[in-house]
Amino acid sequence: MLTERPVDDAATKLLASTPRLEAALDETALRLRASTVHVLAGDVAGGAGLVVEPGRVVTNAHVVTGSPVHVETADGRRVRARVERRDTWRDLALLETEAHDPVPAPLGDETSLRPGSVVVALGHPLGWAGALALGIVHRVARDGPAASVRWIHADVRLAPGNSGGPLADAGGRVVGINAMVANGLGIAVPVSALRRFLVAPARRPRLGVRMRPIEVRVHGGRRGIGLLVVDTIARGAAERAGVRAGDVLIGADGVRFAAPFDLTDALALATAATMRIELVRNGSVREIDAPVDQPDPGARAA
Amino acid sequence: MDAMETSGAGGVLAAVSDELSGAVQRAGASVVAIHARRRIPSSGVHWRAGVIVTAHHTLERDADIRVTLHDGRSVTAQLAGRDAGTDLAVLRAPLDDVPVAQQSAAALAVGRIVLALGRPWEGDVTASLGVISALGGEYRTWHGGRIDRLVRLDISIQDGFSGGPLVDARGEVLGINTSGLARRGAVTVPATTVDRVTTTLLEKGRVARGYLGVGLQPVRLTEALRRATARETSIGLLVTHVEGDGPAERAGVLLGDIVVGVNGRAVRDLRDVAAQLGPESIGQRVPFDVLRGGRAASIEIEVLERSGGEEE
Repeated sequence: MLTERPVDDAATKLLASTPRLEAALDETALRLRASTVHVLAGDVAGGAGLVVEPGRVVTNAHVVTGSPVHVETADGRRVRARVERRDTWRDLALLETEAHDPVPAPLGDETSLRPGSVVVALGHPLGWAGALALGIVHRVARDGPAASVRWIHADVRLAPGNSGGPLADAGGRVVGINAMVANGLGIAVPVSALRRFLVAPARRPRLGVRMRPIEVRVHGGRRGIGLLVVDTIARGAAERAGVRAGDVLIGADGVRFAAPFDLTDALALATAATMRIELVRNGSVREIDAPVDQPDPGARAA
Repeated sequence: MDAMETSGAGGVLAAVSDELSGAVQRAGASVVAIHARRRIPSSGVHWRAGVIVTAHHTLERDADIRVTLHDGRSVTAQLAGRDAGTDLAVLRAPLDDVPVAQQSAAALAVGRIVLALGRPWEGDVTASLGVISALGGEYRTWHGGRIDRLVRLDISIQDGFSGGPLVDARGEVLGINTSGLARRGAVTVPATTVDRVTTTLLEKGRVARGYLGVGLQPVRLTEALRRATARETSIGLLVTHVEGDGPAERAGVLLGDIVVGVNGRAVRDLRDVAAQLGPESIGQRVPFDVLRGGRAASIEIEVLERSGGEEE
């Protein structure tokens, strides 16, 4: 016979105090529900949305591909919404609505998450309004060249209808926007990307290049992010400045790229008419002053 | 409304969160990435000083195995041995600054909160949460390995699951996870089995298993055949292949014989046979009860040792 020692680890003890834990989850669900709306696009009951400011709702870009767009608040009111901006790369969209009363959600910081941190998701999975799901962080998000590492992977059960809804930490602060399910894991846009998306001007200047992020190590230095130019747009700013396919952009206005979004962010903040681009060509670093074009709205390329 | 983190209720959730992420961080330092297959690496655990345990089925090669440590360093590991039976493999590597996994002293129990850890990508440790969903006694795997307890998990299998540790909510190790021992669902090889197999693999490089040189397939016995055997059984194992000059052929086993017992025990599937072919069977004359031409017969087969990584 095996003699079994009783289970005595701390988390099990805490979970055993279920009434307190249930109260905590109930409170978290109530607060998140007050900031979460149902987003409907066309005939499709698309997903969820998070109120970030009075009258402004964030959801996934893929949720609002149809029209007209409506949001439905937790108390059942349905109001028209307008897609103010979308970023299909990050799968985010910003909606303007007349519904001003839902409470904006407190935004947290995904860098405080570690694998194992408790997270909760709120949304409308399979039409269940305001459903809460509990889980943990499976893998943290970080900046890097591989697309997969830039998302929060959460071991939490999500379903269609969670898209666009909040992923929150144990304190109820939003750390991500749930975007998809892959192999049973919930995948969320980190809140830092949401913040960048919210501050970016609607009409973003552009260089006219198509790029893909790669990992680079310039002159034996630290690993960084480079943006390999795959193509330049005819008569675009980059082409006029002499940027060619095969160049690897490594910095802008004196700042080396550490993340794939850094060029986009630098462009968003650019006020001067030109931007000094640092790039690697034929193994040597050079600088090029590129004019910054004011672009077509909704353009994807940086 | 108060900020949630200051309220008592929210504090419970935050405490659970800190407890779980702390457990992952402590245990994660002993978890390594094993690069011995295409695409996604598997995981391994620093089980004893300089010794890594991983899942046998994730090693597609025996040499040129690279291991990524928790701090991002990369070292080369040597295969010390592998055992298809328990789906475990043991590597030696220089792991000076890597902590050895702390084994849990607590008992396995259904409902226990557990975490499956992995390091499938360079750098990042991954964690999945669940509970032990079922426990059973000692069993034989489909490759004939002996495992001390059946441990089934309510945890979804993600990249890097196999070879990673199952840890309790303190971050102490309960066993090694694998998707290679069950067609569906996740199984953990308990730490006692890992210890036993590791010791054998470090000493001998393999876990010896008996070899018969036959192919067997379960068949339903007709009423007449059932009467011919003295056993209460309706299933036998039809000999579908006899290896040339193998132990079975030398003992006179013929195609079409139906095996109904080994060592005096009824056999209903290949696992029952494998259970009689452990290390102790090698070199022994093992009695087989067979049905041949509708009559019961007994044949003694001198069991040899199975070589290499052959499967059944």
